[in-house]
Amino acid sequence: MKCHEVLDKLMDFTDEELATDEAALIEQHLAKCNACREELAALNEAEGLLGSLAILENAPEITRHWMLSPKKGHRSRYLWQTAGVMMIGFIVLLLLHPWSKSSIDNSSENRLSQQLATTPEGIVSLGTQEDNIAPIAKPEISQASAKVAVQDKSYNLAATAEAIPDKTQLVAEPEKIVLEPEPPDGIILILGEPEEPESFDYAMQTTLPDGTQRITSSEIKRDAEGRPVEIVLVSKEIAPSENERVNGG
Amino acid sequence: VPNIFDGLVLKDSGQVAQPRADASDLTARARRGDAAAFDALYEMHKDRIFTLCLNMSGNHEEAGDLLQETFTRAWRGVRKFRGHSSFGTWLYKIAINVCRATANKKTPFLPDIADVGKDQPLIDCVRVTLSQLRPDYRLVLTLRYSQKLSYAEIAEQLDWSLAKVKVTIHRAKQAFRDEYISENGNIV
Repeated sequence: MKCHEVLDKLMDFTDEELATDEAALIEQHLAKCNACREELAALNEAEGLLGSLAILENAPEITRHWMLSPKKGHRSRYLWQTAGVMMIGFIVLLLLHPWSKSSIDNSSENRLSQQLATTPEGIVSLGTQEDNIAPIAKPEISQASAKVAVQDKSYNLAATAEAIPDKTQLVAEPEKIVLEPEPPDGIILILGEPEEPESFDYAMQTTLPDGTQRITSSEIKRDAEGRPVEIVLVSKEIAPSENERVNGG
Repeated sequence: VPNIFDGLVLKDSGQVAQPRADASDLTARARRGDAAAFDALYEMHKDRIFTLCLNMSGNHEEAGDLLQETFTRAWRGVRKFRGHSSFGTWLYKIAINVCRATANKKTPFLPDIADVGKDQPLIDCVRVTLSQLRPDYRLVLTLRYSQKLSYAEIAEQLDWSLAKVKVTIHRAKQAFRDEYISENGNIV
């Protein structure tokens, strides 16, 4: 065995990872080669010193901000619960408000988006609906009932939404939203958790007074890092005649 | 069997290790946003991560900042942690990425302020030498000797081949030894 071959395998030799016969060849070489013995001694000396790095140091006290701020899950849940309420309010407006009534033609698609603001800390906060909803002339209470499909389950939804004049804001209190049967995790089930985009996908089917079927669904647009930045609602209407045709009636 | 072994788990290697019965449960709870569970995980890993940061950064103050940054990122990202590896392995990757950002700076090791004026312990001499090495040498030696990772684990953490890990560690040890002798005159 030559010196460069021994040096290549010296670390495996000290780690005892070589086969017996190969280790024996290296031992034979070391017995007669002073330079390789010195190299082995140097590596062993380094190994001995580096072994002291195994001592664990006590970490200093740091600010445990996860214990100081509201629990992330709760905050996130609160935000997304709010998002759910706002979106339902949005849909309620879409369903009942005269402004939205005229904006959707039969069999057409209407896309509305809700911008989300993402803070540097990665916390998602909601934007306002100012960009999306025309000013409302007078206070009004809107009520809606709809069938909401969440993944494979469907729920009957009844919501009361209050439109506040001038502020172009739609408020729906969580307790005014009724889901039957009650989902195990409350209203959050409508939107799901931000990290589970598949649970955001939902659709609402409503029968309007004239018999038109309106299907509203949502999708979440995300940035390159996967953070939600926009909720897009897509509404599609099927006229009664078309609906009958689809259903064979 | 003596009672002192109660509650401890004997690994195949014969080493005695602390039980990790609740680590996966804590991870699952942390993923759901349970801050108390995440805090318990912090308690389990903080010293190892801090030691990694200390060996990589070369001073206690910066290591504290790196520790903070590591757990801040981990808390933000824990809900996306899918459990394909252990929480510890996942945390290591975060810590290594955090440390790599600062590892390009070749800063001499600064002993803890509490140790100034005392005889310099061997560990400080070793860290001074380590801080003079190239960042990749510093990293592999830290992972190997401070964190006790196997070659395969280092390869996984760094996305390197096993051969590259071995060659780099070999060269890093030689460089460490030469640097130590130049700093201290000889090996103790």
